[in-house]
Amino acid sequence: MKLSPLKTKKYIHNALKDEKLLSAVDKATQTALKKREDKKDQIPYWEELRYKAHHIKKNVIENLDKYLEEFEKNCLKNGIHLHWALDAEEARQIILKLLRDKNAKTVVKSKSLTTEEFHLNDFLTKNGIETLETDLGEYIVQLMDQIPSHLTAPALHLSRKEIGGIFHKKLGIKYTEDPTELMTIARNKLREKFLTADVGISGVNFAIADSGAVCVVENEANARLTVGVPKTHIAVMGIEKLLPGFEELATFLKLLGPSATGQKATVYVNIIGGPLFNKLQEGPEEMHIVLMDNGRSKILADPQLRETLFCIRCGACLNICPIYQQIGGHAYGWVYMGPIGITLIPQYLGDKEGKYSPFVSSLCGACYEICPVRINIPHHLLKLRNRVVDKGYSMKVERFGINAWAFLAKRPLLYRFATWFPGKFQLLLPKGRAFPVPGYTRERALGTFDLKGFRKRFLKLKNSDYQDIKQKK
Amino acid sequence: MNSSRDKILNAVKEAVKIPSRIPEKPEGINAKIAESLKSITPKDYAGLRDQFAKELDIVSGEFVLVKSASELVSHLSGDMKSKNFTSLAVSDEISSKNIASHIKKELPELEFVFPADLAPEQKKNKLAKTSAALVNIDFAVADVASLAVLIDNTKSLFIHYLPDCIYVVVKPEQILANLFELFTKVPKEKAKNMLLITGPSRTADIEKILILGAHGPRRLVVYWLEEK
Ligand code: SF4
Repeated sequence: MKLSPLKTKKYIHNALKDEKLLSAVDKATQTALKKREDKKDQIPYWEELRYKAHHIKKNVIENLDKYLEEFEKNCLKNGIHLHWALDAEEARQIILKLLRDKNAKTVVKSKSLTTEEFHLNDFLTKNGIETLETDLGEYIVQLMDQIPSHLTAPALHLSRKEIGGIFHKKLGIKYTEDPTELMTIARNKLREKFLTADVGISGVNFAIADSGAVCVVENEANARLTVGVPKTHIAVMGIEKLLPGFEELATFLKLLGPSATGQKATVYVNIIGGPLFNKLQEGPEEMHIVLMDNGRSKILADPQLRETLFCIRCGACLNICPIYQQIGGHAYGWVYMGPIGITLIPQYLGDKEGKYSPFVSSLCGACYEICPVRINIPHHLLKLRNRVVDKGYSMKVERFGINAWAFLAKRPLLYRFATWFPGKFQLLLPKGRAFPVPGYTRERALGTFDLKGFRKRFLKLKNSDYQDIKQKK
Repeated sequence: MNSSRDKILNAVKEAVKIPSRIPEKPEGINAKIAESLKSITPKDYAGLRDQFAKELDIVSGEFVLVKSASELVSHLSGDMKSKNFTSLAVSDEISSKNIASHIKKELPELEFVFPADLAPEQKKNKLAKTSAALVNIDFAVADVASLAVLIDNTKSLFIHYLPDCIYVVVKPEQILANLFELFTKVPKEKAKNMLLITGPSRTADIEKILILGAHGPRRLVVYWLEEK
């Protein structure tokens, strides 16, 4: 599935017509929000914890060079091979070379949105390496030839009927839509792969600078099997994932579970500080970490927008977002979606390719309220919108509208006429019909114009109510 | 040194020279957290144990309080029998082996699997086919019902997640109040290889319906051994 943020308007129009999608997204987001609220309420120091997490990330990001060097030093001590990838292409080539060196035929993967940034699955498959996603949701979307539609619930947009259908078609099994049966089928298929795969590729939730370890958080045990069974483990992470030490990790684990899945704690927290074969006579003989920049250092160079690097990909801002709730994840056109996605898209892909993204928001601020690391997303969206406009990438019709308004605003007589006219024109329309604006009123109503107009009302207010208010003061 | 490393580090070094325009946190946050944590943490051992039991139940784990090793053996044997389990993997600690030797008397037909005795290639396949495992852990975290396994202190990790049902023996002295305490107590040299387990594996990826036993164990039974 190849998506593009430049087609986001088309995706949104399609999504808005899709009743099934709306109901699936609604059910999933409301369930997650309810569970989150319940768990959060059991942590009376939640708000303080959010401040603390924000502060920890601020310190890391402002001193990222030092933490990266410290992490590198400790990884080497632990026998971990560290690879630095400037961009997507380099990351792909590093991984391919590692796999070729191991003569790898099969790779099991566990949740790694970072690898979606550079389309690793397609790339490896084209190079003749069987690459299997193992998280149930990701396995499903891989079978559907799609990408995840949510940061933590990849198949949230699909119904059990659709999942049953794809299992039947792709795996050649008898049709069933029973979730437990579907899980058992996936479990049996993947168990065998876990036990025979040559390499496991995982993402990283957090990396611990002072210990040279990575932390992978999950519920299904697929990450445990991915990092723990094959002879080689490759972990792929962005350079921003660092934390100073384990004390800070505790803060983030406390916040992540409730925010992501409404759990107090996820089932498995895997902390991995090197290959364990020599010690246990089982699992990886080699461990590699691919440390990826891919645009992150550029984001870091902006004194304000660098805050978007604090994100721990919990998905809470998606669940609460009134836009995401209506359109789901694919409509955003890239691997990161929802409120945080629309700040990341122009930053990673450039303002031209991401020119629509920062506008896919009502700026209601719910994302900021819910974010466990207090990322001020609406604030960043305004800055990104400005950037798009300054670079001349805003839509022609918008530019025309704003210029027309500026022209009229400077000419009071014309302005008065322009605000009087739509109300009168509206009288010519059949009763109840809204004023048509091509494009805009396709998916929504404009409402009716007030016949009196703002100016008259304001003048009246000035003469009566306003005086009252003044007197009261 | 590769050039990408230098390029990335140089770019990062340049970027961090620019001061942030991000607000600072308010004063006194850590003190407020500590105070709040204190106010919600049970004051004594029994309170912590009960909190652990309650939280474990919420995450679909099973809590069994036993007052002696023989009570543990009898309960565990009964449970295995009722589930028609045919094999039990036993972790390498003496205490597990002792319990296993008593279970053997109750269930003579049961196959016992000792991971440390298996060749590396054999180990994963054998444990993946074993019905259940009897394991030890290092710490039990009361406020989230998490079990901490320090890999430094164990001989096999497979045993904790390849079999279908995991029986864990926990002793009172292993209880900790919360994750903050865990990470303060465990030195970083040990914490860097650690597994935290909170209930049986699960997924809710299909229409948010909870299914226990995703790719890992379907059951997690904690025997809380309060021996005199
Ligand atoms: S921006 Fe905040 S709420 Fe959204 S995914 Fe990132 S951490 Fe979670």
